[in-house]
Amino acid sequence: MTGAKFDRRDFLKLEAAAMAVAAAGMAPSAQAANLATDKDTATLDWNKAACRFCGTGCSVMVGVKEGRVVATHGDIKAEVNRGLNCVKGYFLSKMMYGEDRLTKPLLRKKNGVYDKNGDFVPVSWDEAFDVMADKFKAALKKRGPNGVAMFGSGQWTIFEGYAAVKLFKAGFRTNNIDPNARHCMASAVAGFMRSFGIDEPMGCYDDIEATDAFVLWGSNMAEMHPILWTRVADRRLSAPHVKVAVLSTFEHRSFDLADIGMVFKPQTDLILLNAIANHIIKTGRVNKEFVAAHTVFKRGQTDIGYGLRPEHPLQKKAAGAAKPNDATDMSFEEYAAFVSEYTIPKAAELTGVPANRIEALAEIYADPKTKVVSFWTMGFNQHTRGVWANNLAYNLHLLTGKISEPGNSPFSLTGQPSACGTAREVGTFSHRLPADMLVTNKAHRDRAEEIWKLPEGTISDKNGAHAVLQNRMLKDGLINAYWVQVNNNIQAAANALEEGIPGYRNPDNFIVVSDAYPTVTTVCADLILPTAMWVEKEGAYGNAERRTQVWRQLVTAPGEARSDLWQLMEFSKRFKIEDVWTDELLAKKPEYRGKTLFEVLFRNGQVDKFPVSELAPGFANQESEAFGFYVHKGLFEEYATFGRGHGHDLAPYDRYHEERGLRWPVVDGKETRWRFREGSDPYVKAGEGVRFYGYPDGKARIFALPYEPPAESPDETFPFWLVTGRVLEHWHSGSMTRRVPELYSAFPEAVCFMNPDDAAALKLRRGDEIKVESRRGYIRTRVETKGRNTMPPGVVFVPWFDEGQLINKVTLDATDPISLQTDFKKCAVRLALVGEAR
Amino acid sequence: MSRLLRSLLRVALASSLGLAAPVAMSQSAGPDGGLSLPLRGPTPVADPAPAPRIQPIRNTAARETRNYPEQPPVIPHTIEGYQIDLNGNKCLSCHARSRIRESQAPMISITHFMDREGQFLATVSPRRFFCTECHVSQTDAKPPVANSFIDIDSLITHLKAGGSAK
Amino acid sequence: MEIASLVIHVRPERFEEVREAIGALPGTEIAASDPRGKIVVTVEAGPGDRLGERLTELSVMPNVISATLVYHATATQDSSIEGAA
Repeated sequence: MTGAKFDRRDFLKLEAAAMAVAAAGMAPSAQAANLATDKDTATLDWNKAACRFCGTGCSVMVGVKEGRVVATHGDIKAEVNRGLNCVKGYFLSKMMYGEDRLTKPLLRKKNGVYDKNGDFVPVSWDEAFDVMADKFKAALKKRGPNGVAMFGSGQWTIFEGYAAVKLFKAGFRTNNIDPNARHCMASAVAGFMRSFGIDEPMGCYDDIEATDAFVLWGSNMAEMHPILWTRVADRRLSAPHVKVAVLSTFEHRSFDLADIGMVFKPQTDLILLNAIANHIIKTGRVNKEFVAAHTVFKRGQTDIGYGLRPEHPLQKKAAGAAKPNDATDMSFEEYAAFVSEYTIPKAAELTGVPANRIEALAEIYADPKTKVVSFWTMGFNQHTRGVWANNLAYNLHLLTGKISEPGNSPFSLTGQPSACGTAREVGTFSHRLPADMLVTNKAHRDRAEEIWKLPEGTISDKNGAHAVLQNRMLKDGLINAYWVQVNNNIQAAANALEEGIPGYRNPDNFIVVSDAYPTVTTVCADLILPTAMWVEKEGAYGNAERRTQVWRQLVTAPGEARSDLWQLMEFSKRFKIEDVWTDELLAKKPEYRGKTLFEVLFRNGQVDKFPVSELAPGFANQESEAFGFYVHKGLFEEYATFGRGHGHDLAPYDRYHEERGLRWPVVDGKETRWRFREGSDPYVKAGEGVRFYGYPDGKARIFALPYEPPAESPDETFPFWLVTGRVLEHWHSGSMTRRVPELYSAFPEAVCFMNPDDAAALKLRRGDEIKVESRRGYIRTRVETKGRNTMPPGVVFVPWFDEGQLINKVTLDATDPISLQTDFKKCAVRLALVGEAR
Repeated sequence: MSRLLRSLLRVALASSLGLAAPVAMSQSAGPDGGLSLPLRGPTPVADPAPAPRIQPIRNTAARETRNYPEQPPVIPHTIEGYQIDLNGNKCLSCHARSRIRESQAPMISITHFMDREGQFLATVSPRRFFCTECHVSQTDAKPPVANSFIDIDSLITHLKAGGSAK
Repeated sequence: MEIASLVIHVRPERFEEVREAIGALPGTEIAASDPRGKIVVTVEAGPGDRLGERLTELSVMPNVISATLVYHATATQDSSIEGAA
């Protein structure tokens, strides 16, 4: 709301007074006694918002007083969380109030002018955008459209991601835009597209209360999706027949609820998945009717490489590297023969999991009377065969027909609050357009150009640079102007010393980073833009169950901080269409001559269709006030035209202000809980029963895919597996949560979780300072042999939230060759003592 | 002394004990553009920074002030070795309704007896079974960045004292 | 910017008079007072002001028995980034 600002000065005065009152031994002022009876003073403004953190998509109520957030709690009316939050969510109130918020643009300067090696100096927004526009124009002139790029986020709001896609794909005419969701769930996306021809889960969270068994494949929900875990725990503990199986490469908190816990050797999940499929076939429990009616079988390309630089020996050796996504038809019998070598005894031998446990797990899938939900996240997705792992999990549900109905659900969880809503649905990937469309498909480009009122041929027909490739191209000097929003990629991307840092500091490049707080990425930049966050702007996120949620601006950002949306739109005013489009293209739309990108992209009669008079009274909306129209509604409604009638229908924008989110497709005002199922999904016609309409033939794909080894495995020199990941108390790189004192103190710095016997063999004790070193670099950290994780011999776990330790200097930038997502879970390291604990 | 005043005093003391605003810009031109990263320390981003010692878990019986009534209280004591799994929940052995006379520990909140539909159950709701999703213990590590969140009592007191929130 | 607070003991019979005098000083606010002879004052000094002089002024004011400094802090504006160079 628009209340006056209560700043640090007021705060200090209040403290000063309180100290003195206490020192004087005086009672607090007489008014304080009236606290309970003074309604005006005691009343808070409460409004809903989606949580800023993970992909669960909890709704929170935000209490505001005098322009400040003073309290937050779980939204009782929200279907997702019914009044609960995890510890991060409960501390949302303090997230925006770290003392070192960025409040002014900062530009590196020497002697008063921009200098790559200068120190950061506060500048005006005008100066910041002037220098930035010069650098972008220079890069466009030197290298053409692909000389510029953007790295965005699954934490962008829908509006921000959509505006960024328009600015880069339509404005600058490059597909060099990718989100950090590439690190997070690109394998899930490719998995959906390959198995079903359409992205995102068919089921929803309601499956949790309807199922008989949960299987966690590479997902530590207890820490990473805490509120979904409360629903799983609720189901398991209140219905005693329910079973929980947890699979991982080490024991973590989710094992506390496990009936069947399984620690397997890294990468061998592929073997387990095939062994279960084989068990289903061998024991005669294939749902033949379902399989015949709704599936076809495909043999996937093998030996597909590891997404490394082309000159890497592993890439050169890979015969299928040029066409990793290829597949050929096969029969059920051929498929059955393919998986027949994956017997349970063989799987037990290769995975290290006892045969009886593998069989117990296989029975959960095979038994036709047991409904099963499979959950997975980064263990599958951050995997050099992550797309395969996704496909193989769908195989199990398709072979048994346990899909698209309450309680039977293969469910890919998302990491970020709008990885689905923004990164995937808006299509901020380098190969995508909104509503699952592809830049390489002429019909898809035509449709986008039509909706955006652009001439044919505006959008490039080439896939742009994805996350890992962007860093490589920055290092190689091929991308020279770069904009990073809502992420901390120097900390998040693998192989920081060899790729990320040299790329950002390459003298040929100009790097812009928008953030709310100083991070390691901002200090590697040349220009830092201060950013408004969360309820300092109107926003919209889409969670893992296709639920779109919207919130209003509730407070004002400090100083000159502005939202990413304002930054994108304001920056577009710096470009005349002639700066970025060819004469040939302009000849098709001569009326655009002399116009700015802002006018062409955002003053197009659609985005600017709704006047500011439609804003809700009592709420600020700084972007709309700045540009003179209801920006969010205009962007949303234009964006929604992509999906309406195409299986991605969104409700009218205003309705989302009233609801605790709606799951798309929303047709005739009704949300969809189970897709592909008659009676639940409006796109399945009466009499069809089930239809996987993502493919024109209406059938899902069952893939034959083998085990292939990881890119790097331990050897004599580097004898340990390194797994990286997150912890409950911190969100991603910790730039927000480590500024909340309670969360900081709960888990202040990263440590290296390791097996006590491994530690003893290396003469290491808990608390010793060690080097964790790979072929690419090392960090210094501390040995932890206790605590929340139990490590098997030969495997260590280091979380990546700590900017003091930067474990991604150690990790390998090998990716899944189909999804181009990095495997953050497997590389080889050695450990060496730096200093003893005492 | 009133609770209100105690909380104000606590905030005030916290900031006078060295949690005051860090200087965001260091004096010298460093490789990181002179911008300091309090959560990392002075080591340039490209270099390996020393790892701070593992701090002990704070282990007291004291209750901590909450930032707002809806905040789950932090755990003031160590929970090392506590079992919370299919076999049992160690936290309940002190915080359950029937145990607090003996333990003198705070009873788990009444909200924890409610199911998803808002109905009160006879026992703690299974959705609340894993205490550490919301309640975390605290180490002695001192936050490098101060937080200027202002709790509602302080804000109201300020307004009542005639302070306009200018 | 500097902020300080003081506890000032005054002659109870001249309480109102002193209160008015303090209230008239620039940058000074009365945070609490007790007619039995105590006044809590906050003082705010901008970059050009001299906080020390203001404190002296308060302590030598007529009918003030004592003025004790309780709290003193130096704050940067809004966010600390302004110390940039």
